[in-house]
Amino acid sequence: MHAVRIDDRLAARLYERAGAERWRVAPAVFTEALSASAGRVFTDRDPGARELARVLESLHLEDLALALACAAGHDAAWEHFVREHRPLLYRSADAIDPGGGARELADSLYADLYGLNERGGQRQSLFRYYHGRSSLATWLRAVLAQRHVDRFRANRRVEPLLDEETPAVVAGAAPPDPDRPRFLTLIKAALAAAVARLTARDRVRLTFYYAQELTLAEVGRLTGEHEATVSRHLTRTRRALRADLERQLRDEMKLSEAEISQAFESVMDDPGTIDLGEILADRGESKKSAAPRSIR
Amino acid sequence: MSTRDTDRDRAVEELLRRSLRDRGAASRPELCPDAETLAAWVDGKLKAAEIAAAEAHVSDCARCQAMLAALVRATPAVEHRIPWWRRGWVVGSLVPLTAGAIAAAIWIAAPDEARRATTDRFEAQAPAPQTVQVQPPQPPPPVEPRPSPDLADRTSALQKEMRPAAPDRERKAKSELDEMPRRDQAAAAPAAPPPPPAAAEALSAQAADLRERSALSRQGFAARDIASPDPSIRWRVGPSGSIQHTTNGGATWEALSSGVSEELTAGAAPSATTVWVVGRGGTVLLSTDGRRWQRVAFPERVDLVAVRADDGLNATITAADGRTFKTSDGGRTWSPLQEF
Repeated sequence: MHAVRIDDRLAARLYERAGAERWRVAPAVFTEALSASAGRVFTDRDPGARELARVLESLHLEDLALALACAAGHDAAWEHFVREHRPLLYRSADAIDPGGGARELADSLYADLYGLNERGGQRQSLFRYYHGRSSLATWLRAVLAQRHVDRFRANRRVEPLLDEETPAVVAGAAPPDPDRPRFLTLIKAALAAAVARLTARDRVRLTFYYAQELTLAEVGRLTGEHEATVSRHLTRTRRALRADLERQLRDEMKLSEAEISQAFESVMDDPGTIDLGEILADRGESKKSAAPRSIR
Repeated sequence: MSTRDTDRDRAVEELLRRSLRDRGAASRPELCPDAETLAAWVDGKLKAAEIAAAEAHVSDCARCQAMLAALVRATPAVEHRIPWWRRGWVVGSLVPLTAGAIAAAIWIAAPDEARRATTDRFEAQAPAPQTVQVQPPQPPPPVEPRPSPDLADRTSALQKEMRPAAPDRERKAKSELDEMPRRDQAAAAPAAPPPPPAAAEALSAQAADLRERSALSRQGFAARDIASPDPSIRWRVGPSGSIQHTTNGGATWEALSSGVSEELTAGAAPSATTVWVVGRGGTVLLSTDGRRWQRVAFPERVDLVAVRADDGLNATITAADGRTFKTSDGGRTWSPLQEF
């Protein structure tokens, strides 16, 4: 990591503002932590004095001091942390998994935060990964969310897919349209190409709204937009995607208007999931090679 | 909008739902932003270049998408501080302000006679305030895709956007804050040590619940939990009108017949037997025994995303476009809440 030198007067001012003295955090340790935080922001250059001060002053300094003290095993700091943050962690665990599955992760997180593991005679606390860029509360939630998702994904890899549903054949139903599979393949390919042409932010909005099923307000927290703005962007992107799909089906895949309608209908009839990554790979396209532009 | 347009819009939405769910599943964890970067993003502390880099990664990484979604859900809205320069209403407010300035200039410049005529015309056309009266059953109007903010909706949304704090957001924040102490009490009782043997049955129920949710998730069943005042009684709702019910804290779930095929998006249970459930296309269900469901007529076929209820008579429902509707008679009549 790029080492950024911190001016002594700035370090002293921030030390006082953080209330680090309360937890007996050594000034040198605090300055070193500030340097590490700055190094994560200025990865390849030395910032000017004002720019550096602005970034460091924007850190969650009190949380950083508390984390440093906890990592060093300061009893009063640890008690304060447990009192202030354990209820928050449990609430977060309940919000992440209302079934209670994340609670045990929250408990195990305490062991890692306390630093039960040692390396070279030194406690290895998870707090060493906290640099004050977010609030301590949000960082704890992020670590918890990370562990929950990783466990879920690991379980999904090892569990046999016994309950994959196969569409039941309905007795007496009309014979399937032989063109449907072809239309479905074409429209999936067109969608993969159209999505790859969207900007990253458009894809973020679409993914969090349609796949992760966040509310408009929640998506807006990520994009820094009001929910009404998110809604307008989603509407615009969806219309652009539809126009792009229709253009590809008509101009590139040479379908008639009736066939295009059938292609869209095939989507509603098909119950399966769609793997865009696989489709892109089959087409020999990569998302990186696609022109990064927004369709308007 | 023609039927063809509507059908195609719905097909695009369906495509998006199914295709984006596991997009980028093969991403390499070592390339993912660390927890602090994602946390700083949610806290609004990343610089523009860092946000762009994070978005570029997350837009193609299923792991980070799931993490961020979990993080956002776990972070109360009141903790989010969107910097003023990132709030859309700052720029958006210039539009009505400019329009207002132009209107004022015209008012000053226009002759008195013309101004009086204009005023009279507006007074003659002004509609009286109305309460929406629902007359079930009604023939279903054409289905609208989600999201489908038309011009009127957009105007309404923009007007709400201009306010520093929308009432529904405040209500939601208050609701979350009210919820927290209750959960805290439950959380504070068992301390960090491992659970006693007596809790083994409860843990077993939780494990069964986790397995069930995992299996449902593999099938694309994104269930939304509905808690009741009795911790052992819950419901969860999801796609295709799915409703499941547990009376043993999630150890086992029983599928219930909702009688509808629309996706159900949220619910509220003011008691262990009274449950309101809402969903897409204006779907509103009410149960007074927790098991049998009655469809309640709703004045518009908009997607509904949230519901709060005090009992079987009083409920407030929020639509995807931010409007809220209230009933005080079990859903026989609905009144849009005026929020301006």
